[in-house]
Amino acid sequence: MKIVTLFLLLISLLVANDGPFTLRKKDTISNLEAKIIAQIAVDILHKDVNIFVAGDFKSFMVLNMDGFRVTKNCQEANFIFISKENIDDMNLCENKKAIHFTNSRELFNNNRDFIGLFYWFKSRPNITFSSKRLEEKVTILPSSYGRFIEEF
Amino acid sequence: MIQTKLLSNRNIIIGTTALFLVFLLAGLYISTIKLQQNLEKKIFETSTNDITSITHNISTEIYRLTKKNNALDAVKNISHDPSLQYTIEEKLSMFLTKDIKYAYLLYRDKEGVFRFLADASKGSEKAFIGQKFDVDSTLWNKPFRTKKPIFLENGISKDLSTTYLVPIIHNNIVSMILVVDFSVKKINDIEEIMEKIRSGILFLAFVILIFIIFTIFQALKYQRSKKDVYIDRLTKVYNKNYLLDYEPYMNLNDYIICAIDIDHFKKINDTYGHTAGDIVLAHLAGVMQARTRKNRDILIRYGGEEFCLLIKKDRSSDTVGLNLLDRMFTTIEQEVFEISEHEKISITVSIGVNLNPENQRDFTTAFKLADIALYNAKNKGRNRIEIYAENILNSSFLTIGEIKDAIYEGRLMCLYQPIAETQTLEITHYEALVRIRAKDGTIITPDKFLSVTKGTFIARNLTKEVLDICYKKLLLNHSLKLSMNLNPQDLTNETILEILRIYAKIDNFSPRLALEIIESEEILSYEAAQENILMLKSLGYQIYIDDFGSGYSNFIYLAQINADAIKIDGSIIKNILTDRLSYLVAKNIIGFAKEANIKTIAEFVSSREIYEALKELGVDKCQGNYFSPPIELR
Repeated sequence: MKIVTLFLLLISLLVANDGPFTLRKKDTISNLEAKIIAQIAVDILHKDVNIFVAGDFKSFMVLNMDGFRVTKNCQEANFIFISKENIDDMNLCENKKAIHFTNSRELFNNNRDFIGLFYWFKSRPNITFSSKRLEEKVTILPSSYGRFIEEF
Repeated sequence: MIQTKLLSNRNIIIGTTALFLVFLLAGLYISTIKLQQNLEKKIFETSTNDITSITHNISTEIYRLTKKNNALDAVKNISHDPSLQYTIEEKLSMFLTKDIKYAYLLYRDKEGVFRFLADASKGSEKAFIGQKFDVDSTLWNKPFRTKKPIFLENGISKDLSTTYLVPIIHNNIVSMILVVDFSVKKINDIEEIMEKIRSGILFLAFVILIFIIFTIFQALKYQRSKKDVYIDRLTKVYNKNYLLDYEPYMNLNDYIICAIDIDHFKKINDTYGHTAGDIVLAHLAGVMQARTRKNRDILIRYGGEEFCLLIKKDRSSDTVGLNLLDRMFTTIEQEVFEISEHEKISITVSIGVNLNPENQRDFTTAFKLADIALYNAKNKGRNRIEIYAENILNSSFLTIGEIKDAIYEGRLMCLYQPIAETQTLEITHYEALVRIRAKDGTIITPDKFLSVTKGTFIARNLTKEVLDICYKKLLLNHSLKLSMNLNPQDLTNETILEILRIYAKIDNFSPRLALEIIESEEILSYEAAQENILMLKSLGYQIYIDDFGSGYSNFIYLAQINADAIKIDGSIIKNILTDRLSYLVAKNIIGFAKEANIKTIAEFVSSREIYEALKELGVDKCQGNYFSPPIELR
């Protein structure tokens, strides 16, 4: 049952009907990533998402949804996504309160501000959350995300 | 009727063809898809066969390396034994080719999360032991449940095409799965092959379709040309070609067969010209066609002025068919045929009917009986319908086969009836009369078999046999004189003419053999026949006209063929004492013959009274049972 739930999460991300984050076959990898990360942001915050994207923000901007906004200012954001191509932009963003998320394994391993990682492994999308960082950030994930939480 | 029939047939053919084409295309389409799917499957199996075999070998090897453990221990064993892990990864690395992107070993933890046990990849692509791996389908769990390998298609990844999962089982529990990810290149290669095959199949299907369409087109064209071949251009009714093709499929139970012939048609041609004859034929066909029932009866121009009518039988009785025929007969009799702007004529027909064709083995035999009935109708004075009596055939007529057997078995023979000078009663010669000796020794008279042979090659064979018998008889007895019958057709048969030419070379042979030719329109119709008669006369043969007065009695005949004698028909002779008309006919024939210096012979002289009457009329010779029945000559 747990496994089914795990799959349902991924699959729901992939095949949900006509939602703003619905994945479609024609999606580019950036679109697909944007949709998954946006869904994670919505599920974690349980409120309006103001996302700051250091990277391909246009993929996030096209996700036209109520309560989901891409900000230009890191300080206004409650969810920060730093892509592996824009690690250097990390220095421009000082916002400890916001949830940090990345697709860079290196950044995730070296910076404890990042609670979660989305990455491609063996050509498949993988999500990992650090249980300790979640605790530090007092962030509670929906139970369906349990499969992605690793003990470190 | 025919046009309607052809039109309706055409619609049926077009409809059936269209339906057939639709089914054919659908079938072709479905079978092409099916073939393509099967081929794809087969090609995929074939092209991945080596990899799946290696995968199974390696999974067996991994099992062998860990077989001392149970499922849980096997996982722990690999996790905690770097050298074992290294050994396994070395084996897995054998997979990595341009076709295989990843090869790794996974297990499921207690939470059901997939984690790495070994990974053949290098560098950043390499997973560490225990690394979580998010799978994108519940089907990944299937090998754990079924304990059987499966192929999975990758939906999201653009780098991977197919994944092959092979369970490794310890103590009947799947402890781990060996995973092989095929790169898209492999599938691209397969797709490339498939594309070629697909094109090939499509091309093949196209060629087949074109071929089928071409065949159907040709078949339709053939049908159309066949229809043209089936219709007689002059009369617009079916011709003999149709009959020949239709005959094998004809159910003789279904029809009454009629042979219809225009009476004295030659006279029409001779008097008014062949164009008038054609007009009469076309008009008559139209009249008869109008009297037939649509889609039931079939009218065929059998040849010349002869038609064959197939009347569909009514199940309950023959009355319907015969009534139809009677109405047609009456209509023809009453019909006025306009042969030119100013000339109108009436015609009559003679009809022979076979009511029970089903009793014969084929149409030809059945029609022959209708033709015999027609022959009887002609002999009885024309303008009548004669029905063939089946019981006569069954009881006494020989079949063609029986006649043929009799010839080959030497059972054909001749009896000889003397012909005497009327005044002196001196026998001048004998007429050779053909007989068949039955197997039981009884003698079969020609009325039981001659009509059956009419128009067949058997008739010619009969003549040849009789010629041979006469030849032998004349060679044996040099003072003997004979006469024998020839069919009008024999006069144009080169084989028979050649035999007569050869015989004529024998000293004093031809003057002792007279040839009796039945008076017939055919002789006058064929110039060659007349020429051959004159040729035979020049060879020394005497020419007698047989049965004169029975049918086409024509004095022009006598002038044209320069006959030596005429034999007055027996039906006239036997009635001269009772029928005034017969007496006058006989008297006139004899009178004319005397004037023309042609000898007369009276047949069927059966009594002294008839003999005396003929003697008084001045007939030259007499023949009949009064003098002697046909006898054997020793």
